[in-house]
Amino acid sequence: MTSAAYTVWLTGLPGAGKTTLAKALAERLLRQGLELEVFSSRRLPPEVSYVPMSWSPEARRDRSQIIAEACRRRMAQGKICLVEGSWPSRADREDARLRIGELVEIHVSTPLEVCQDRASHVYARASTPELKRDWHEVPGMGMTYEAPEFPELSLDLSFLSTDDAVEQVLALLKSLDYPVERQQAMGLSPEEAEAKVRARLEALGYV
Amino acid sequence: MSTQRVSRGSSPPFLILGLDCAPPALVFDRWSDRLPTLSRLMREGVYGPLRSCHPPVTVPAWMCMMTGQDAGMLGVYGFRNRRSYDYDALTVCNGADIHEPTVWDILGEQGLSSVLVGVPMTYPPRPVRGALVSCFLTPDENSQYTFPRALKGELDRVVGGYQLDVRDFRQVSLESLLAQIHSMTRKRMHAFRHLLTTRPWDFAMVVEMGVDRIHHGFWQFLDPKHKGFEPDHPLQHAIRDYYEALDAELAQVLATVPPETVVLVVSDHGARAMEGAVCVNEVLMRAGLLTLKERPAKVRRLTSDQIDWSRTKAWAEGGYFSRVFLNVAGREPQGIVPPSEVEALRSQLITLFESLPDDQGQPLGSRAYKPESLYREINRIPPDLLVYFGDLRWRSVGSVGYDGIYTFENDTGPDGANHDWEGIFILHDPANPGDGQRVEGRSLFQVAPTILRHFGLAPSPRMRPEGLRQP
Repeated sequence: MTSAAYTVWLTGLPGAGKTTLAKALAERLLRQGLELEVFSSRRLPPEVSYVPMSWSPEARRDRSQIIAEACRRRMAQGKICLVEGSWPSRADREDARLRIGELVEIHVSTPLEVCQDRASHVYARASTPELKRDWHEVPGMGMTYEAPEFPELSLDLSFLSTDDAVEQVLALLKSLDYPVERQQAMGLSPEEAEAKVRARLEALGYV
Repeated sequence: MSTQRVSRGSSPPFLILGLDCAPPALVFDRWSDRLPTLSRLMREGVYGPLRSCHPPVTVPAWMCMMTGQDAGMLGVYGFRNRRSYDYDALTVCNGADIHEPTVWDILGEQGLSSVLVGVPMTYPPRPVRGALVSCFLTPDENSQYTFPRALKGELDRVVGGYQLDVRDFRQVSLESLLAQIHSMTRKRMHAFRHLLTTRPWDFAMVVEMGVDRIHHGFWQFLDPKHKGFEPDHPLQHAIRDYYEALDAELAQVLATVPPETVVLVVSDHGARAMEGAVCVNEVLMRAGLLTLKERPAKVRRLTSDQIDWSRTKAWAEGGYFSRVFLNVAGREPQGIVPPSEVEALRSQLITLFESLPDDQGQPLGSRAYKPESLYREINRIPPDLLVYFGDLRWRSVGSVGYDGIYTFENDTGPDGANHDWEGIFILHDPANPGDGQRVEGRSLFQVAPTILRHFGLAPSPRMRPEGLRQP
């Protein structure tokens, strides 16, 4: 039986369109009757006590670990999780994948110049003289954004509509045998799987 | 092909080329002049026989090797394990039964990445820092057998349909089986090279099952000791030709890795001719320890509903070795052996099996063991005895309905090879070259410490401490 629970982890530059995509995707999956929770760097799991809202690499790492653990717990209950945020560190995202396992990484790869237009208030932090101290905390500017090397999907939302992007994500999830609607039949039952393996082992003379 | 994905650690990369079932006699002696890649590694490194575990079978051997734990510690005693003391509670094991950390789990905790292809008992795939393609214990190619999941589609595109195992081992013609084995190996090595050249890795491992499959399918054309040996059979060179093709594939793999890579070629157990089979349940019946409700008119698998449990003290499962179970009062549902008599009965059975002659009345040299004499720890439900007929020269047949206690065919069809205690290792370390010396006395439990020490990590206290460089 394939896993019914999974996490979709959206990453990209500030202003890339992650929040918009996450909202549309969540609406779509909820409408299909799936149980789902959304987390972001600002929307931490409710069971977590106060976490300082800093944007240093260490604070970002702490938050990604907190969210990854929360996803793991939700998935054990059969829920789907949606995580969005910049998450600029590749190592942090790899750690999250290791903790979560059934994780689908989607790189929202909208180009920097488009992101700067869309989220000028964020990028202003990195260019306004009096806010210059924040320069190092803005991914794509003072803070390196490490794009995923092997994302399951890359979506450039400078030319792709949100609806089309949602369709692409759903198609990807289906192709990976993840449920995108309630009570979707998936894979073999444990008994069917064991019977197949056992028949092969018998033929091979192992049992 | 160019290489050279950058590894993340400060140590040179470590590569394992696993050849399931490869025996010293073929690799080191008989065909070394035909295997230039393996011979070079031997010449420039150290090599020798590698003692397998109890039982010397793919499951649990590869996981014993990669965790440094014996089968008792893992609680995995073969391809099938007893889940409870019910009579029908034998189920097929897979990676979900492994709770001890593997080498790649330990390396991953240190931030080191791994590429793993075909390592037995990695299905269902668990998260790994890196990429994993699981093994032949996957139900079929429609299952999710990679981590991450999306890797499956990528490999299918790259190699033209990944192949987990040969299909219909006993139903297809030998020519078709041979073609399947070659195709499977080419695809697996292609997939491995693809991952080696596209993913960052510090540790990489592939296990090729084609070696095992070709032994079981074709050994009878190679070895005069086999009862079914036919001199000058058209397929007499099938195994040799496969080894040559495999050697060429390994050369291509080595061409993709950085020159400083440490390479370990290793097998989990060896192979030898199957000289015959002992019908273990027929032996138990003749000893008055197993009673059937009705004797079957023809050979058939033994199932619990055939057994008169009120008059049965022991029954057994067949395979390359035999697992014997006692029907203990208060433990099994209809147990009749008082717990106080279990030890005496086990000793009686050891004597029975070890004194059994072969079909010519000559000593068979069988060995029978209590699990607690083999393992440092016992987890889950072990068999009450493990029996190696002819010390692995003969297999164990669990079916009933035979006229005697010997047969010369596996109960699931003809089989060319049985397993053997000695597999192989070849360790090639460019920074620490060997002189082609053959060393003796190494075991597969020394592999995990070797890898961990290479990366500057101490073996866990549950592992045996010595690596392959130490006797």
